[in-house]
Amino acid sequence: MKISVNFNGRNVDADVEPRKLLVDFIRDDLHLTGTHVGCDTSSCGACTILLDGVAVKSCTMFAVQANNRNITTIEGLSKGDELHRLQSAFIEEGGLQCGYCTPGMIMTSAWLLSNNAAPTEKEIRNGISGNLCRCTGYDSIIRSIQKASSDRRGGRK
Amino acid sequence: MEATERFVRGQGRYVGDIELPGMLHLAIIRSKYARARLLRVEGGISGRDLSAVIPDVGEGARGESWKIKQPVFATGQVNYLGQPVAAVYADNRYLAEDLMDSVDVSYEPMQPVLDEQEAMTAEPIHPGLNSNVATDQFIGKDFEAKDAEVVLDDAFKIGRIATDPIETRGILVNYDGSRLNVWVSTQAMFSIRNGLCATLGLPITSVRVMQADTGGAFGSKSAMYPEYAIAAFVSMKTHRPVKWLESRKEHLTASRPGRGVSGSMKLFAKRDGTVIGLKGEIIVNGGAYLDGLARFSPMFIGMQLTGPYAIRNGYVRAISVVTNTPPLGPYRGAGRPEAAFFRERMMDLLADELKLDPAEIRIKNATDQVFTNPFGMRIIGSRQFMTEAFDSLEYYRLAREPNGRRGVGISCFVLVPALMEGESCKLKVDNGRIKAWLGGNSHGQAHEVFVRKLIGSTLDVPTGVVDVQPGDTDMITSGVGVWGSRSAIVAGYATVLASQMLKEKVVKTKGLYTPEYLLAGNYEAEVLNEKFDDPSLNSFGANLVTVEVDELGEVTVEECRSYYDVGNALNREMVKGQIAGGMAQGISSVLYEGLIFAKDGTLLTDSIASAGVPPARELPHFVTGITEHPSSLPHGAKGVGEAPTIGVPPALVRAIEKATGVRIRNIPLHPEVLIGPEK
Amino acid sequence: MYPPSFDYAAPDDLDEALKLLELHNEDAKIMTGGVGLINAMKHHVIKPGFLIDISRIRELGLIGDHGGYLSIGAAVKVAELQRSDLVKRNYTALSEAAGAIADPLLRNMISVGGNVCTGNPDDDLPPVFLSMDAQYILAGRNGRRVIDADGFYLGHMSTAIRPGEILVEVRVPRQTERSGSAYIKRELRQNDHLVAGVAASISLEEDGRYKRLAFGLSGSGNTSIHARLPKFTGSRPVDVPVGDIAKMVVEEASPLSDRQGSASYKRKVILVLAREALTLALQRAEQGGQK
Ligand SMILES: Cc1cc2nc3c(=O)[nH]c(=O)nc-3n(C[C@H](O)[C@H](O)[C@H](O)COP(=O)(O)OP(=O)(O)OC[C@H]3O[C@@H](n4cnc5c(N)ncnc54)[C@H](O)[C@@H]3O)c2cc1C
Ligand code: FES
Ligand code: FES
Repeated sequence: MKISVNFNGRNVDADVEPRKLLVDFIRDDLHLTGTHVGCDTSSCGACTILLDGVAVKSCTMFAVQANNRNITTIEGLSKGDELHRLQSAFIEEGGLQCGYCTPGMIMTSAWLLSNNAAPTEKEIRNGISGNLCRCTGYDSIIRSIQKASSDRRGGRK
Repeated sequence: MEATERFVRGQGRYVGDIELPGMLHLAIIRSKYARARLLRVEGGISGRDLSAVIPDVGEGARGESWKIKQPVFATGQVNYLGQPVAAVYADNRYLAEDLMDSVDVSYEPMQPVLDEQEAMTAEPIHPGLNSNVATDQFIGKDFEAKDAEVVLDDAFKIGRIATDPIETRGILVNYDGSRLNVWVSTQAMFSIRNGLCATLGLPITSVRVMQADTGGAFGSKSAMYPEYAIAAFVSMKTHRPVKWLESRKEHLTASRPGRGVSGSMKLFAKRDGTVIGLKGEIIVNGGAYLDGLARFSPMFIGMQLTGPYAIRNGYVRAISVVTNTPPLGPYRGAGRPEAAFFRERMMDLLADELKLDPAEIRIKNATDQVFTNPFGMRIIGSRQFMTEAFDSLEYYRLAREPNGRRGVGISCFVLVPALMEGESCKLKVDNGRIKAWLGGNSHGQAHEVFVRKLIGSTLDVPTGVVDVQPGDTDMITSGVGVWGSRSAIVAGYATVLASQMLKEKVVKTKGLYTPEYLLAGNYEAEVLNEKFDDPSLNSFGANLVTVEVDELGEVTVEECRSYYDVGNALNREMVKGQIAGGMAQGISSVLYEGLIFAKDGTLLTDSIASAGVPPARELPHFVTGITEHPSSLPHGAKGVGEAPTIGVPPALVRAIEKATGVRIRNIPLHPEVLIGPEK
Repeated sequence: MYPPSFDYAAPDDLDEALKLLELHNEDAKIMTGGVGLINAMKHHVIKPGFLIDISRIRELGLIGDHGGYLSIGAAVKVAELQRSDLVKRNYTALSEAAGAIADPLLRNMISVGGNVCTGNPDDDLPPVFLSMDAQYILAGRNGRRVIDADGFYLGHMSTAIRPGEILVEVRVPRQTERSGSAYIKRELRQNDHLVAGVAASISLEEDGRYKRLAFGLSGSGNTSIHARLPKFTGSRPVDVPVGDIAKMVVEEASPLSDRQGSASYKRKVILVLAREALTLALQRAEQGGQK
C-alpha cells in the first residue's frame, strides 16, 4: 500500500505491506535505528516516537496508520550537531547507562514537557511510566527531565 | 563521539541496528511444553542437521557441564518451555516467522517438574538418571552447639526472576568463507567465542567476536546459547550473514533466569545475642541442564551465609537439582542475594526472639579483625563499618518514629566480588594517542570512564588522548567478562598494570619517563592480571528501607537508603547511578518480579510487565550513600554493582514485617500474604 | 511477533466503512486505536484478513455536551477523555477510569470504542459506563440502533454487537446537579492484569437522600459488572453506612482466583474499593456535582 509520511520534516513516499509495524518501517526501511524494540506486548516504550507531536509506541501501529501524518524520531530531535536540551540534560545528569531505553525515554519527555513546562517529580514519574528502564532506577532520568525543564524556562534552548 | 552522546542521539549500534548485505533472519521453533516427548520434527533445521551441545563458558563456568548437557536442538525429549526444537530463516523477520508454520512438530506432553523442592522427590526428568539431584555436598564442619541457649530454625524460598534487560539477546554472524565474524550483545565476548568454537568444533582462530553496544545484561548475556550456534551454523551453510534477535517472550522462556532457591536455616545463639553457629540446607533450581554456575551455586550461597558476622561454626548441605525450567543463569548478585536473604532473615528472627534491636544484634556479631569463616571466606573487621552505617542511615532516629502501618528494616552484607581469572587490558600508543582494549566491556557501566581516568593518572596524560575501543577478540589475546561486581577491580587493575608497563618501556628506551616521550613514540603493552586474594576486596554494605502497607497489603516504599563501602570510587556519580539502578531491582525482586508457571508448565508471566519490571511510578526516590575505604590495590577499587540487589531485599522485607506483624519467608511477595483471612 | 498478511483500508467516511464491513464481514475487523488488535495479531491469537481503520472518520473523534447527555465518539482516545475538563468536572469517574488505563503512551493510542467493544471484564471504561447508565450507538448498513450498556456485555469477550455493526458513539446521561462519581482500581503491576476496579456513581435528592446509587466492577467476574442498588433509593447517606453498601456490592462480584490473588482476596479488594469509591462519590455529590 502506498503511503506518504513526513519523517523528521522530510516527506517520504513508500509502498509498504499493511502488516509492517511502524517501528520496523522506521528501522528497516528508513534506516533510522534510534527507535528501538524492547518487547512484544506494548509494555516497554523503547519504540516511542512522536505522531503529530504526541508520544506513541511505534511497535503498536502499522506503518499504514501513519499515512499523511507527521512523525518525529529521536534522530529528528537534534538540529545537526546541536543537541536538543533534553539530550544534553540526559548526558549531564547521567540519565542513561546502557542507553537502550534512552531514545524512547527522551521522546516521551519531549512530549511531556510540551504539555507541561514545569512538571513535578510525581508528574514526571507518572508521565514516563510507559517507558521502562532496567538500568537507572529512574532517579537520574527524572533529574535530567527536571534539568531540561528548568533550562527551557531559564531561556536555554 | 562519546558513547553517551551516541545513545542520546539514537546513534547507538546495537546488534539489531547492524545490517549486512544479503542478511538472513533466523526464527526459532520452540517447545510448547515444559516437558514432552518429541515425536516428530519435520522441516527447518533441527537436531538432525546440527547435533551439538552447549559448553560451560561465561560467568561461573567451571570448564565442564554436568553429565546431561544442553543440546543445541532438543531431540527425543523437550525439557523446558521455549527450548529450541528447529529453526527457519528468510530474507526478513516477517517472512522467517511466516515459515515457522511450515515446520511440523508433534509432542506427547508429560508432567513437568518445576520446583526445586518438588524435584528432590519427583521421578527423574531425564531418562537414565535415578534422581533429579545433581550435586549434593556438605561444606563446613558439623558441630554440636552445647552452649547454645537459643536455637531457631526457619525456611525460605526465593522465586525465579528474568534478567530482563530492555535490549534482549541478539547475534549477527557472517561467515566469510574462512572465518566467522560475530557481532553480539554480550557481557563476555571471549565466552561467546570459546563457546561457538567448542559447540561447532572450530579452532579458536576461526572465530572473531565483536561486542556490539549492549543494552543491559544483568547476568543473562555471558553464557553460550543454542541460538548463537544455530546462527553460526546457518551462516556457514548459506555463506550469508545471519541475524537472530530475541523477542521478549523468548527472553522470558529461553534466556537464563536467576534465583530459584530454597533454604532452611538453623541458628544457634546465646541469650546475649552472640551467634555461635549455623546449619543450613540450600537447594538450587538448576533448570533442565546444569552448567558450572548452577552446580556451584548452592556452595557459593552456603559459603557466604555468615556474611559480615563472626560466626565460627557452620555446616551446610548444598544441593542443586534439575527441573523442567530454563537452565539457571546468574542474575545480578547470583547467589549473594540468596545468602544475604537467608542470613538476615535469621538475624531479625533472633533479634525478635531475644527482644533486642536488630542493629544491636548485628553489631554484637560483627568482626573486629580479619576473620575466616567456617567455609574459608575471609573478611576484614566489620564492626566499625556497621556502627558508621546505622548512624549514617539514620536508623536510630527512624526506628523511634511512631509506626502504625509503617515499618523500618535494615540489613548488612558483605559483597564478595568475582575475581577469578582476573581480566586483561591492552594499550597501544600511536600518533600521540593511546588506544585501550579490555577483555570485558561495558553494557551500561561506562568502563571508558574509569579506563581513561586510570590511564590518565598513571601515565600523567590528559584523559582526552585515550580512546577506549569496542570489544573485539581479534584485538586482544584473551579476556574474561563483566559480572560479579568485578570490573572496576580486575579491569581497573589490568589497566593500571598495562599503563605501568608502558611507563617501563619508555624508561627502557628513553632513560626516563615523561608523558611527552610516551605520546611521541610507538608502544604497546598487554596484561592479563593474576588472581586476587585479599579480604579487603570483600566489601561491606548496609541498607535501610521504610515502608507503609495499606489494609489490602499493598506496600509503598518510602525511603530506600544505602551505605556501601565502594573503595576508591573511580567516578562517584556513576557509582551512585549503579546503586540506584540496583536498588530498583532489589525492590522489584521483592514486590513485583517473578517468573510464574502454571502446574502444567505454562508461563503465566509472559510479558515484561507481568514479569514485573517496574515503571517509575512504582518506585521511590533513592538515597545513595557511599563511603570510600580504598582496597589494597594500587587504584583502591572495590566492587559495587551487585550490592543493592543483595542488601535491599532483606531490609525491605524486614520493614514490611515490622509494618504488618507478618513473618515473611518467601519472595516475591503477594500482598495477600500480608493481610489476615477474609472477615 | 508479527501478524500474518492482511488488507487494510482507512476510510474517512462512515458509510464507506460500513460498506467495507459488509463486503468483508467474517474476515474483517474494525480497528479504532489498534492496540488491542495489534497485540492479538502479533501473537497470532486472531488473524483477520481485512482491517477497517475508522480512526480517520472525523465525526467519531468528538466529545461534546449535548444538553441531555455527554456524547463521546468511538474514536476518541482515552487520553482525551482523561484530560477533558467537561468530563473531569461532571463525569469524574470516567476521567479517572480513562486515566487508570495502561500507561500514558498507550492512553494516547487506545480508543473509547476499542475499550468498550473488546468485552474484556478487565477493561476500565465499561464499569463506569454501566454505573452511569450509558447507551451505545451502533451503526449498520440499515441504520442505527441504541443499546443500553447494561445489555451489551454478554460474556467473556462477547458483546451484543452484530456482524456488520460499528460502535459510533457512547452517550452518557447528563449527571444532575447533586451527583458524583469515582473510579478506583487496584493493580499489582502496571500493564499486567488488574486485581479489581470499582466505579461508584450516585445522585442525591435536594434534601440529600439517595436518588440513584450504582456501581460498576472490573476484574470481578466473567464480564464487566453492573451493580444497581435500588434498595437504597430514598434513604439518607447518614443512615446507611458506606461499609454496608460496599458489602452488597461485593455480593454482585464473582471474581476468580488467579495470579493476581485468590477470590477471597479479590472480594476484600472490591469491598475496600467500593467503600472508597462511594465515599469519594458522595463527597463530590455533596459538593454540588454538575457545575
Ligand atoms: C499493554 C496493554 C495494557 C492495557 N491496559 C489496560 C488497562 O489498564 N485498562 C483497560 O481498560 N484496558 C487496557 N488494555 C486493553 C485495551 O484498552 C483494549 O485492548 C482496547 O481494546 C484497545 O483499544 P483500541 O482502540 O486500541 O482497540 P482496537 O485494537 O482498535 O480494537 C479492539 C477490539 O474492539 C473492536 N472494535 C474497536 N473499535 C470498534 C468499534 N468502533 N466498533 C466495533 N468494534 C470495535 C475491534 O474490532 C477489536 O476486536 C491494555 C492493553 C495493552 C496492550
Ligand atoms: S517495543 Fe516495547 S512498547 Fe514498543
Ligand atoms: S539505560 Fe539501560 S534500560 Fe535505561
